[in-house]
Amino acid sequence: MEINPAQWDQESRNSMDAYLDAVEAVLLEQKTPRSERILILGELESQIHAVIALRLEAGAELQPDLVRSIIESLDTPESYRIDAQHANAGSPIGSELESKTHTSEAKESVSIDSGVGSTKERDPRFQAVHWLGKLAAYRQRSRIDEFAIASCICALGALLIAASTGRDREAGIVLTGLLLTVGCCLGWFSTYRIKRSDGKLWGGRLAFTGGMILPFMLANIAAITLVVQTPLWILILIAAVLFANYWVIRRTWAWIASQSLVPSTVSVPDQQVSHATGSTIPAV
Amino acid sequence: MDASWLSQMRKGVLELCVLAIVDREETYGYAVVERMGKTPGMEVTESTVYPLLARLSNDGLLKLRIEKSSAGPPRRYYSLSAGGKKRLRELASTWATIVGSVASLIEPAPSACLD
Repeated sequence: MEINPAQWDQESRNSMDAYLDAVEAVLLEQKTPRSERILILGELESQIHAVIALRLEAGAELQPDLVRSIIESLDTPESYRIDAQHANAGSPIGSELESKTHTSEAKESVSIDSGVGSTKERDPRFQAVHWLGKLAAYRQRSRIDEFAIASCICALGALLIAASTGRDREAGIVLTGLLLTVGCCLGWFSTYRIKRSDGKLWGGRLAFTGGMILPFMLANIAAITLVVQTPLWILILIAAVLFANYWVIRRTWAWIASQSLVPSTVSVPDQQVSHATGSTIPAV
Repeated sequence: MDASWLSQMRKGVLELCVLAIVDREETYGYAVVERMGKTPGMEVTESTVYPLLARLSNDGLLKLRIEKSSAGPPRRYYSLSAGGKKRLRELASTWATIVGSVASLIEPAPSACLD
């Protein structure tokens, strides 16, 4: 059975929001990367909806008490604290070992934030190591998209070739066009990847620049070629072209930013059977 | 049985278990929690499974497919990436070695059998 969250009463929604906020606060305190926080909270929200659907199927009514009892049956927000997981013996050792950069980073920063100036904190070597650690941890969990870099290198190469084309003009034009086309395709592919990466990849502006350079060069060349016959208007038209470029860039960037790129619904199974247990979990 | 000993055992193999579950079929977080919760000796809850899934996904070991839902938030379906499959093979191989070695150690010695 599916229930639209819009049908929830305010109290039920408040209960769920308060629980998710409390979990998020603990995750933030732990300095859990944003992409992981989003996943964890999304899974929790899905679970709450799934359990509600199960209870409704069993004949319960959607009331604040139902939502409250479901939330009470979940792990407490404090359970998401790594120390608590350690004590409760729930966290994977692999997780602790491999995400030690996150944990140690969190502990270090806590000691720095809350400390009152220990020798360790004042030691510039410690500070350097701390920042290097932070940088390494950041690079580990969030990296620039290599296609964005490749796109801009292609565009830059095309511009250099175009600027230095002398004797072999035709070959230069072909190579420039080819590089611009490749750079444009890579730029848009990279923009797509970055949008889909849920915060793991960055470099959106770089990718956007690479993706837009070919269309804009073509548009600008066309505009200038068309108006070059009327020199009196060239300055005005250049200004108009620049303004148009700016306007189109802003609109396109805003459009990209507004796209979630979440795939549309594709035949969600009503129920998924857990193979090992035979239990059914409704798709909500 | 000493709870902390069991918990340490559980911790060590949790990642292997989650990867193995996801390897069987594309699945979502709550299904993994349910599956783990019904596996004797491996009863862990969502506060353990979801951070692990998020970390594995962040590390590129899991692929994520998001499907919109008419009710509730979009559901995330996990499957193993090539890196995840490799990691699963490595962990499974190590696990098999450990199990074999420990089994050989705890088996009664031949002389004891004769007695």
